[in-house]
This record gives sequence, structure tokens and C-alpha cells, in this order.
Amino acid sequence: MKRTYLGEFEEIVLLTVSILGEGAYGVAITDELDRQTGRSVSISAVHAALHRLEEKGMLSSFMGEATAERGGRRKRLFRVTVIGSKTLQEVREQRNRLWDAIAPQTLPVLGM
Amino acid sequence: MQNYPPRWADRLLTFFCAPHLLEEVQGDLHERYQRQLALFGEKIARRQYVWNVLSFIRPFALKRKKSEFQTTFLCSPTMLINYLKVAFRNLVRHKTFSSLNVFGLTVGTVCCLYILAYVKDQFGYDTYHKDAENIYRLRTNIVHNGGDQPMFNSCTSGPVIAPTMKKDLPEVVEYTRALNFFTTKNNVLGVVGKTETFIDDKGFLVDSTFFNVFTYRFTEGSPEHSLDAPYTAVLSKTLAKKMFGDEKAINKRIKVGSNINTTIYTVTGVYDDNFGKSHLKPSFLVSLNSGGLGEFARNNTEWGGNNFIYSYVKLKPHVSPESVNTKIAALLQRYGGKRIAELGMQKKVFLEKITDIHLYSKGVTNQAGKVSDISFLYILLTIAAFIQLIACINFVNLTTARSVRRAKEVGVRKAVGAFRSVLIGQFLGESMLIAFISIFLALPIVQLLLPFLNSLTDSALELNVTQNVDILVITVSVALLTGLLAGIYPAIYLSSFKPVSVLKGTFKFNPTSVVLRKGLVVFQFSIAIVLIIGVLVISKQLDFMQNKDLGFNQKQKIVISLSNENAQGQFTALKNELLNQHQIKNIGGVRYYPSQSFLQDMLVFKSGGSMDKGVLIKNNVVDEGFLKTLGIKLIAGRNFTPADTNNQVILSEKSVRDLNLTLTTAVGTEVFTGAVDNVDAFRVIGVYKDYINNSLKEEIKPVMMHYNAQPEYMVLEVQSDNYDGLMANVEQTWKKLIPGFPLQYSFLDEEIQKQYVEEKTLRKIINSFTFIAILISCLGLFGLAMFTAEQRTKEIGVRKVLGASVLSITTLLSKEFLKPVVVALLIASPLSYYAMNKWLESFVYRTEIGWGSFAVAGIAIVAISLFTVSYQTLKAALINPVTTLKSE
Repeated sequence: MKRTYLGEFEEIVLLTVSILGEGAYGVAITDELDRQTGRSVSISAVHAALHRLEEKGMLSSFMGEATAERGGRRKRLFRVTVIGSKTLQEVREQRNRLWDAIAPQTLPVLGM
Repeated sequence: MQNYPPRWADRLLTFFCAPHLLEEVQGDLHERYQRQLALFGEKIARRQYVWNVLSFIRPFALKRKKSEFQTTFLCSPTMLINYLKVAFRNLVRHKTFSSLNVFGLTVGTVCCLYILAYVKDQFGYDTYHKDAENIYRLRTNIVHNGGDQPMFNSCTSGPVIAPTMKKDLPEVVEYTRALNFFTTKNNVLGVVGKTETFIDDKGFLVDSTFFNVFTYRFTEGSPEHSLDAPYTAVLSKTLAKKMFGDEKAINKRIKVGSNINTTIYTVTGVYDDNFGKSHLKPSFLVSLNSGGLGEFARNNTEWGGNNFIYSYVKLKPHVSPESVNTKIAALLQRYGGKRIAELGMQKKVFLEKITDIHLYSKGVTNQAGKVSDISFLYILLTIAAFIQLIACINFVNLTTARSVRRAKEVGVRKAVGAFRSVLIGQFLGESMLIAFISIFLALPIVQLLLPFLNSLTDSALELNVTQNVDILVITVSVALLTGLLAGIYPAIYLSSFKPVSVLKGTFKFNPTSVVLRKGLVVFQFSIAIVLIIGVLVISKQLDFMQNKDLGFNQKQKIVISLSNENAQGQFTALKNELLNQHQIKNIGGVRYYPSQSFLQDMLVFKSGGSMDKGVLIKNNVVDEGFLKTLGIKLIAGRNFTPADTNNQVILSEKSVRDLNLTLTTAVGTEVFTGAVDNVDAFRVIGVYKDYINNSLKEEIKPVMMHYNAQPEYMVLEVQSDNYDGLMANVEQTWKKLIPGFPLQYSFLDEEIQKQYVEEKTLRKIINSFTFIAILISCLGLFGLAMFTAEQRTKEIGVRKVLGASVLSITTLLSKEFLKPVVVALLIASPLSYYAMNKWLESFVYRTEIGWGSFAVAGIAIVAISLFTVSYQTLKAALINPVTTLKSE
């Protein structure tokens, strides 16, 4: 099935935007990423990914409210679009299919 | 908010980040900064901030978003048509200003085009030869011991040098030599079996290898082996046509006569002399393998003196001339070291690229033909550039002064959505349009004026735009450059208007633009004044040279050339016969009459001296009548008598001084020349007062006169108002005594003035350009005056109502225009003083610049500019205030 390619980092950003729901903007996404995955990424990398995702139509954005700590500048808030959520679903299903196809005991067992 | 992130980083971000992303990005960064500040303190927060900003330098942040609205497209046909329409409407509506602009630019372009075409024509000499870059001419510099100036800086060299180079140096592929046909400048040519004679002074004796070095295109015969056999000749197409008409010239026999003898040559070829530009430009070539002078040159083994032949060598490709120069020096030392030391000289022979001869060998003596000078071309180019600049300044000034009229248009266009760049394009386009109109007007004018312009530069330039691609390229680039130069400032200025203020009606002139305009006027007039002073000083120097006492009487003297042995033999008979005519007062014979260079010299020493300590003295040969005919004063001793021989000499005052003699001791003493075993002695019988034989640019040289009753020229002192009648009588006598040879004569004063052709050409050129520079500057001033008068009609009306007189108003308006002119005078005077002093330094005898020239230039320029503006100022002052004020 042909679909827009989604990079690994893009996928994580897209998921993070979904986690944050209403309050997804640059700094918040960066922080959430850090918290969820332990990956310390730069704001510019996140911005670049957001920008790309918006171009691919998986995110939509609008300008939010301004705060004092931002020097009176508004935030750009992101929301996952239908295409975005569909793509995420597809990625997940594909992974599931792949997991299902793995015969038991093929992977080296960890722990248990 | 107390604490801000680093300002410079913020600025940097604002600079590079795309505007549509800036708000969110900067907001995020500031938010992050505040948190870092709270967590880790200022230092780390700031560092992190900078780091974050820098990390945003990546494509997505740099890329500007396309505007959502469609922009006006500069090149859309509708807009282009609109621009053209508006441009033409503006041209037509303001006819006076348009014609001032177009006229000024046309005149400037005419000058520019002609000068560029002329300069281009001066380049490319001798480049058409095959391997032209490997062909060199030998130059000779000789410094005599005790002197530091080269006494001999010539483009000729000894005939033995080039063949020896070919023999000894592997770098030399081929050599050839050319010898200007005999010492006097006239060759009398004729066809065997016919009596008609032709005079030509561009014949050369050349080696048979001539066409291996130089490329000529043959129309009859072929260059190979054409000059191998003795007594063979190759003619130029022009000469062949003169001598044989439409008949074939090949295998015909021709007579070539000189002052020594007449020889018969067989024609073996004809070449096209209009193919390529060459410094040599021979009209015929004869084989050096012939007898007579050719034999003398071939067998000559002199390494020191006898530097009389043009030598050319062709080197192997990629050989540096410097390395060969070193080898030539070694060669000179090996073969001629002893001889050169014996002559008491230091001799240097070196290579000169043949492609450099035409433009870079000014001042070198014994040139084969007329050479140009690169610095003269630079002067011309500078003048052309300045003239065009003056015309462009007119355009700039008139356009910016009248910008008020275009301001509303700019306002509306901007309000409707024109970008500034689009407006700049529009206005530049308009100036290009005017520049191209000027070019189209200028081309036919240049064609029309070509004979006159050619007479200025003394050339035969042809301007054919359709056939000459270079000229076309030059023309178009002149137009483009002019349009750009004239249009760029007005375009930037006009497009800078703010639509709000323009449309509201509160538009004010930018004061800096007024200052700039005045500055440009000052610049224009400075150029004009420098040129005026230049013309005045050059004229003054020329007058000075014309009226300078040369030490002899140059008026009413006729020089007759005795160009063959027959005429020289008949000299005495001719003299006696001519003296019977009462209009002829005196006759003298001479080898080098004033204005001719002395070509012969010898190292002379007193008794007890030797040649290496001798003084280089020029030789002249005269008869007993010469001093009297020219009115040269004898200040000691006696004149020649027919009883004298070659052993009696008359010294010039200068040579007496240089030889360390005195007037009283000189007469009767003997002076000597020659090496130990072969010394010639001369008895000094008299001393004459120095006269200026050559140009006033040169110092007087020491001269020694020998006696000969068969001279090369005769000078007649005449007293007549009817030269035609006199010369008819002279010719009759000539024909009787010397039949078969044409009489050739010239006037001595004219010959002397010919030495200043260069200065006269310069004066003619600067004269014309001064006129043009003043004309164009005044056009601009006229336009500005007209505009100011228009602008200030109301003010003048009010003044008149309040009681101002016509005179006071005229003065008020004129003063404004005189100020820049006076400032220009102040700037230009020292500049031209410096420049003209430099120019005058090239003359040994020179006039003072004096205050006169500056006063005349100042008064002239003030008067001319007053006259220019007076029409407009008077017109403005005479208007009845009712007409200007009634609408208020």
C-alpha cells in the first residue's frame, strides 16, 4: 500500500502531538519528547519536523495565545489531521502484522 | 520581563528567519530561555539561547514563503505597453526637457562612438602575421661614456646582429632585415621603356626571408622565393596599379632611382597592401641580395656603429624575450666587445614585440612609419568618458529636478501594488529608451561628420556598423552603459517616494538631492573649465613656438630637394641660373635643413685626447651660402669658401663649449675623430651662433659643419608676393638643367611647423571637445534655469508686487546658478594648473602658464553661463505678476 513516508523521528513527533492534545506547540512538544523517550532534542529539530509534517498534511496548525514569558509572542498550536491519524494507524497496524508474523521463540528472550 | 536573551542573537534570528516563522520560533526560544534562566542561571541560559538560534540556520527556517497574493509581474505585456506609453507621453509632453536630454546625450554619444571606434582601430597592428606573438624587432640603445641619457634610442640595429643571432641562438627560428630605401626620403620610380616617374618613400630593401617572418597576401606571384634572386622586387597593389594600370605587373622591369644611382629590378610579385595593419606598410620591397646598398648591408661586420637597418627575428614558441635579451648581450660582448669599448659607448640591443610597435614605441627614433601612442589614446578615452558623463549628469539633474511631476505617478503605482524594484526597472527603462534614441540619432551624425572627425585625428577611419561586429557591440554597450549611468540615480530617487506623503500632497524635495544636483553641476563645469584652460595653454605654447626666435630667419625660405646625383651635380649651375632672378636673394646648400634630424654624428676630441673621451657631435654638410641664406650668425672666424675641403669645419657655439674650447682659442685649432690607427683631423675655421635645428622639445645639440659643394637640399631666400609665378620660373630652370626628374619643394616655415603636428592635433581635438563640453553643460544649466523659473513664478510674482525690480529678480535667480560655476572655477584652476605644468614640462623651451589663461577661462565660463540662464531669468522676471497670481 502506498502512503506518504513517515520517518522515525516524524512518527515520534506526531505521536507526541497526539499525546499533548490541545497544548501542542514547539517547546511543549520538545519537553514531552524528552520526558517520554529520554531523547534530548533541539527545538530547531522539532520545528523542522513539525514543518515537514504540516507540509505532508499530517498536522494542521493555528496561532494560539501569547504569554509574557514569550515576550508577547503567540504560540503555533498543532493538531493531528485525519491523514495524520490514519497514517499513524497504518504504521501501527503494519507493525502489529509484522509482530504477529514472527514465529514464537525466534527472538532471543529477554528476562523472563 | 527583566532579563532578555542576547540582543545580537535575537537580531541574527530576525535577519535570517523567514518572516512567517519568526513569531513562533522566537516565542519558543524566549520561553525556553526563561525556563533555562530559572533552572541554570543567566550564563548557561544565554549560551543555550545562542546555540538554539544558530541551530535554526537550516533550510526550512531560511526559506521565504511565497506571497499569497499575486504580484505585479514586471514583464507582463500589458504593463510593458503601459510603461512605454507613459514614457512616450512624458517625452512628448515635456518637449523642451526631452529634447535637451536627447540632444545632450546624442552629442555625447557622437563623441564617444567616434573615439571608441578610433581607439579600437589603433589596436591590432601587426597581429595578422602568422605567429605574430613570436616576432620581435631589435631595438638599440647607446649611451656614450660620460653621459647618462641614451644618445641613440633607435628601432634600427646593426645589420650583422640578426644573422649572427640566427646562427648562434637555437631560439631564433628566422630573421629578416629591412632597410628604408636610401638615405634621402625620395625614391624615383619608373617603368623601363617609359618616361613617367613616380615618387615614393616607402620602399625597403629586405632579406629573401622577409615573407618567412611576415605574412603577406599575394595577388600576383607567390611569396616563396620571390626575393631570392638579386634585383628582384615585389610591389604593393596600390603602387602596381599606379605604375602599370590594369596590366599585370609580374615579370615587368622597373627603374628605382635614388640620389646615388638608378637600378633596374624585375617584379616577381604583387601583394595586397590593404590586408592587415602594419607598422612597416611598405609600398615596394626589393631584394637585399642586390648590389649597392644591399651589398653594403650584407657584408657589414660593424658591431658598434652602423645601426641603420630594421631587424626582425622570429623566436620558437614559448621562448621568453628576456632570456634571449640576455643572450644578445653576451653575443654583443663576444663579437663586438672590443669595438664597443673602443668607441667609448655602452650598447644594448633588445627585443620588442612587433605587436607593441604601433602603440608603445613612441619616442624611439628612426621609425619606419607613423606610430601612435597609448597615452594619446588614454587622453582621448578620458575625454570621451567625461563628455558622456556630462551628458548623463544633465539627464540626472533634469530628471530629479522635475521629479515632482512624476511623484504622483509613483505614489499611485505604489498604492496599486508596484514594488520599488518594478519602479526602478521602469525608470531605468525610460533612460535606456532615451539612450537608444540618442544612439540612433548619433549613428548617422557620426557618419556625416566622419570626414571632419578624421581630420581632427588625422586618420582615415571608416565606420561601418552593419559590417563591423565590433563597432556594433561598442555601439550597443555605449547605449546600455549610458542608459544605466544616466538612469540609475533618478530611478532610485524617484522610486523612493512614499505614497502616503506624495498622495496627501505634503511632498517635499529631499534636500540632499538638491545638494547633489549642485555638486553635479560643479563637476560638469569643472571639466569644462579644465578643458578651456587646456586649450588656452596649448595655444599659448604653440604661439610661443611659432614666434620663438630660432636663431635664424625661417620666413620666405623655399627648400628644394636635390634627390639624385644628377641634380646634385648641377647644383652650382642651378644656383647661378636661379640667382639671376631678382626675387631670389640668396641660395644655400645643406644636407640637414632645420626641422630635419641630424642622422650622422662622430666622436670628436681635442689634440691629446682619444675617442673614448670624445664628445658626440652631430654632422651637417653645407656650402658657402648656407649661413648667409638662413641668417645664421658667425661669431668667430670665417665662413666657408669654395676653396675649402672636407677638412675645414665650422663648429657651433655649443660644440665649442662641450669640447672645452673658447671662442678665441677654437678658431685655428684642430679637432680629431677616429681610432688610433685611423684618425681624421679637422681644422676649425669658424664658430657660428647656435640655432634651433629641431623641435623646441629638444635641447640644442653640438653640431659641426663640413663643406660640400654638392649638397642634398638647396634653400632659397626669396622676396616675393607671387610664389606661384616664382615657382613656375624656378621649375622652368629646373627642367632645363635636370630634365626627367620632378621638382620637389617645400616652405621652410611649414616644414618647421610640421614638427608640432602632434600638439596641433591635440589642440584641435581639445578645442572641439571643449566646445562640446561647454555646450552640453550649458544645455543642462538652461534646463535647470527653466525649471527653477517655472517653480518660482509665484514667488517672483509676490516679490514684484511688493516692489522688486526686474534687475533684482534677475540677479536673484542668476546668483543661484553662478554659485556652482564659481565653485567649479575654484576647483578646476589648481587641477588644470597642475596638469598643464606637467604637459609643458615636455618642452625644453616653454611658455609660462600665467594668470591670463585662468582669468580668460573664468570670465568666459561665467559669461557663457550667465548668458545661458539670462533668457530664462529675464523671462521669469518680466512676467506680469497678475498672470501668475490670479489663480491664488
